Amino acid sequence: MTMASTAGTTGEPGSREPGSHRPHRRARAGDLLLADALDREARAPQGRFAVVVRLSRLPPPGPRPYHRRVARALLEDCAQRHGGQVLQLASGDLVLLAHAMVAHAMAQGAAEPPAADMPQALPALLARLLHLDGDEAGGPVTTLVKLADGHDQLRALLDEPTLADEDEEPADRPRNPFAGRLSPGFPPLAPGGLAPMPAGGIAPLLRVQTTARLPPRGAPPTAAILPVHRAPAIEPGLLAAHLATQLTGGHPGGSLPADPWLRQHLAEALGRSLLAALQAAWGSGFPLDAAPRRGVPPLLLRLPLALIASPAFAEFAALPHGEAPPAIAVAMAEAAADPAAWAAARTRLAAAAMPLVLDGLTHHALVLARPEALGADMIVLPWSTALPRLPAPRQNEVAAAIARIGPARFLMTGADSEAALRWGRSSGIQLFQGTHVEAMLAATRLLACPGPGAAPEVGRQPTRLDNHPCGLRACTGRGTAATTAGRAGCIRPDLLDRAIPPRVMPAATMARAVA
Amino acid sequence: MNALAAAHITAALPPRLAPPQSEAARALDALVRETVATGIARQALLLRLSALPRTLAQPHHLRLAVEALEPLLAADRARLFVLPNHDAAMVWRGPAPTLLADSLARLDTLFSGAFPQGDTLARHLGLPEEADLLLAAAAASLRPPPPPAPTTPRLPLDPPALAALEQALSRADLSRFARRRAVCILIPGQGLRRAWDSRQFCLSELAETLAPDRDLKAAPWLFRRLTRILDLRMMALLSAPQELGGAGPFALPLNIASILSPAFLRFDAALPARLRGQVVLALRPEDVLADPPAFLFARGFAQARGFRLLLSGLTATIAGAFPAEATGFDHLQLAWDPALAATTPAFLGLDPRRTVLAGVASTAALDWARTHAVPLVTGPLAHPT
Repeated sequence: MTMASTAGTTGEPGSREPGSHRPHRRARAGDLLLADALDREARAPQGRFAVVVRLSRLPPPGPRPYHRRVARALLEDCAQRHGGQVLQLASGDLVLLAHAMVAHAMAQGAAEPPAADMPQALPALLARLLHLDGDEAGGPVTTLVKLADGHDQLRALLDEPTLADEDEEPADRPRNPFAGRLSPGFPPLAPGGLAPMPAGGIAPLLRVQTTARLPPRGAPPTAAILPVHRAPAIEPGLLAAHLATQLTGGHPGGSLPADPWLRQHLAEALGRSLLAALQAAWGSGFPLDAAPRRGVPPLLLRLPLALIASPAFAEFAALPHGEAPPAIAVAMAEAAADPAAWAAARTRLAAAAMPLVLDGLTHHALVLARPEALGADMIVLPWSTALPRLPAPRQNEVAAAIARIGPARFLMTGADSEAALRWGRSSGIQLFQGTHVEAMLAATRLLACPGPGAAPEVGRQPTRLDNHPCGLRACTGRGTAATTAGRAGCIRPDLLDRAIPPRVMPAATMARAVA
Repeated sequence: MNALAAAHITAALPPRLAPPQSEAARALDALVRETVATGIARQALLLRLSALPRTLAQPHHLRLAVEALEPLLAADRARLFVLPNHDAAMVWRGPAPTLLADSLARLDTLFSGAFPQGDTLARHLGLPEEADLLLAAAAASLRPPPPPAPTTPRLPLDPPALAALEQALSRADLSRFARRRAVCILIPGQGLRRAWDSRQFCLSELAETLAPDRDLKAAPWLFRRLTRILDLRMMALLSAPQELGGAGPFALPLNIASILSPAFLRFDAALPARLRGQVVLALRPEDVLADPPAFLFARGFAQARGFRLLLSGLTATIAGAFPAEATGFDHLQLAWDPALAATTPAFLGLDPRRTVLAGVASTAALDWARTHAVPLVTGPLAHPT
């Protein structure tokens, strides 16, 4: 039986509005057909049902193109098997109108669970695919509604805002399915990778973040935060701006490649440049100086796995790193792609007494995989605002993974808010990186710093924090600069690198300072 | 090979013993595989005539060498194989020490001193234990002589070359590069049966044809990106009418993005009903990690549509990081490594029933699978019987 059809995928405005009270809304064939079906059902009830999929209600970051594509395919498949019609509304929502015959079968078979491809099984299947828990803000994403009972509810769908065009899938596929697919993903990369580098090498594209160990919960309010790494890393915004200046004709500009593999390729080229910059800065006292200095914490470097086997890395590792050699972070995807290289890197780093950090995981991966089985010393978990909002079962899975691995082995990156620190510390995590941490460190520096114009005497009672002439923002910027130019204006650059803050700031002052 | 020499060797033997030489290599391959699958013991004498110094590789030398094996033809079910590269192998059943000694003595008389110490012309092998050596000899004999080393080294793949190659791949007819590789199930007492065919493009041939000046593996991440378009082409190939008409169960290596593409929906729609539930999608661990939410969605979708999922590319180093119960894969594919002999699937955190042992090119690998009840194997030695 093939009674299926899909309407509303042409993207053309309808010839007439389904409701005169919505003059601003661009209706599509799907809207017109739904309005028509509702009218006919109201005139002569046929017992028809609708499966409604409201992808616009998906929790942030919202629907991705494949969500829409796959949901539509499942609805169309169901329509083809059991008869029915799939409508795409101008709002982007999808509706499967199931025929009365199917509705009848549904009523008769109500006592038994529906077959997997029956319309009434679709809401549960889609909810499972979309990992929905039924408590989405704004109401359920997938529902099964009887046209007669849900008249108002379905009519309201026609009043939803029109989906922005860029969110839609192209209505007509190009004849060559690969046309237009190739160039947009490519950044303006020269054959060697990223070229030419900005004047001054890679340093202008970097920010030096600090890993800080925060006192555990319940510690006295005067407990100090302790910098443990300096982590020079590519700042995506700076890199995107640099790429934009390198554009050649035909390349859309100003953004990093969306393709994960192109990003990895780019990261390899950047990793080589970073290593070269570190070797050049050795012993210079510049922000990227990796030579051991009293009181200055060691580096944490994110490097491509392939680079660790290179002679360039061997040269770097052979430099006199002292008692605290740099820690090396490698993306878990790279370890998974080349297990032999990972095993070799582990051996090589252990021989150089360099701690090995596993990077590139998200909280999803933490639940899916067992990163601790790879034998790294530390694991990076990036902060996500989704973390405290996860449904309880997911929260428990993430908490169980952190407890299993040991919270002391985690470093939370991207901690840009008090909420991030609160969530991390409540999970037992002690090591953090992020703008919030940088602001906290800048606050301790400002307290220790007399400010420009005053004699730089260590131990002098500082001015009040909010009166410091530099201000928190400027000090934070200088603290993360990877070039000496980025530190210009600072009279105490030694404090920018200093590991141990000279004076402990009371917690209440700190909170006020970074708020 | 010198055609005259071939004619001499062939002429020296009764017709039933001297099939055309490439056929001889295939026949030897089949016999050895049968021995491996059934476990029936055989013995073999492998003559590495291709390794003879040029002065001793004249046609009459080769003919005399093969004739030296004649005593062994009296052994039980003896068969002689003269391979395309002049190597020869005699395979027989049961003990034949006198006949073997006779043949070896004749060879010694012919070529005494021709080989440096430790390197021998003739090697006595026990099957199925040393099957891999004989299989390797058969395969090597079919290979064309290595081409002269390229005068300029191949350049690594780079983004502009990748873009050009993707364009080329989107247009070229790739059907001649499509290959099937059997994944077999080990049935105790019955040998190997085909579980499914892995369908993929032969990348080395494809690269040689479309980008002979580029080294694709030198930029692994760009190569990963290239696999996307290969996925699309393979799915399009399989979606063609009649393509899967008589097809049996098969596996398809795919990127997660490919499963979520319109091409997969077309492939899914074109899949014959009888193959529903018989198709395995093989994913890579780095792809799972690159976008876990997309993986979870693709996993749910694929399983709802009746596809089984396999995680490939695992080794002993990383297997423990991808447990089946957390990742939800139906099969985990572990690459064989001789170091595995010292461990067990359980130690690696693998459920043997869900494990596929890949790269099975030696009897040690096959023995490991048998010993640890790993039923699914693939590789040069895993051929259905």
